Amino acid sequence: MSGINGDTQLEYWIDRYQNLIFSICFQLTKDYFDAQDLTQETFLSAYKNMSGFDGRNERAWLCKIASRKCLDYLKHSGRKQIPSDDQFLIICSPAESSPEQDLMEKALRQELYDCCMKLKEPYRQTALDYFYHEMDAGEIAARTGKNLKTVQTWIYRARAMMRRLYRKEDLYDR
Amino acid sequence: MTDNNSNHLFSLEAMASDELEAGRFADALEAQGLLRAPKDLKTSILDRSRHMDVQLAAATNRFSRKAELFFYGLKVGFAVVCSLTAIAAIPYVRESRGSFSRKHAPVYIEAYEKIQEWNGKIHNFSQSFLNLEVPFYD
Repeated sequence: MSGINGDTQLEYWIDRYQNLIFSICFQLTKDYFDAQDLTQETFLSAYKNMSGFDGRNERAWLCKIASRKCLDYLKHSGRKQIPSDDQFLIICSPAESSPEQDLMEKALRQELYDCCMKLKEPYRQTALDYFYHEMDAGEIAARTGKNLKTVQTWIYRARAMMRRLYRKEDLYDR
Repeated sequence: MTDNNSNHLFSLEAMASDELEAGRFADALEAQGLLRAPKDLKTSILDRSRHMDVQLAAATNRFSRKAELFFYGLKVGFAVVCSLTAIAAIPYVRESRGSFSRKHAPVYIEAYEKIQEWNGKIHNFSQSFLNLEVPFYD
C-alpha cells in the first residue's frame, strides 16, 4: 500500500474505530490519558504494519492490537490490581445495563472535571477549556487573549499535571 | 465465555493473541455503550504518523513485503529453470545408456548441478536479507 493510500486508510480507521479503541483502552486501564496514549499507539502500530494486514477483519485486527498494547502496558507499569498470570474483564450484558449505558461516560467526564478543578490557575481554566469543553488551542487563545504558544505550553503542562493526579488517585483508591 | 448472570468474561491474554476473542470483546463493549474519544485524538495521531520514525517503519515493512515477494519469485523462477533443464536432460541421459556417447551426458548433469548450486546461494542470500527486516509488531 503506497504512502498516500496508507494515510487515507489510517484516517478512515480513526474515523470509524477511534471510539471503540479508546473504549477498549479505557476499559482496560481506567486512566483517561493512558487510554489516549494507548489508542494512539494502536493506530500507529496498525499504520506501520498495514502491509501485513490480510484485509479480512480490520475491526478485530485493531482490537487485537489494542489489547496487546494494553497488556504490555499493564505488565510494565507495575499495576497490581489484577492477577498477574492472566487478567480478566467482565462486560455486563446490555439488558442488565441499559438504564446505565452512558454511566461510564458520565463517570469519566466527572472524573475529568474533578481533576481539572484540582489544578491552579492558569492551568485550571485551560484544562477545563481544552479537556472538558474540548476547545482547541486557537479558540482558547482567542477567548483569553493570550499568545497561542503560551496556551499550548499551558495545555502541555496541564496534561502532565493531570496525568500525575490520575495516577495518584489510582494509588490511593486501590 | 459467560457466567450464570449473563455477563461476559474475557481474558486479556486471549484477546491479545486471538482476533476472534478481541472481536467478541468489541461486540460486548459496543452493546454496552462506547465512550467518546477525545476531540484532539485524531489530529494527534495523524500528526504523529507523519514523523520520520513512523514513516520509516511503515516504508521498511512495505519494502520488506515486496522484497519477500521478489525473492520468492526469483526462487520459483530458478526452480522452473532447473525443472526444464532436468526435463531437457532426460532424453540424453537415457540415450547415454545406449548408443549416445557417455561424454555428453555429464555436461547436462554438470549444468543442472550448477543451477542447483546458484539456487541455493540465492536462497541463503534472500534469507539473510529478510532476517534484517523490522519485527512484525513493535
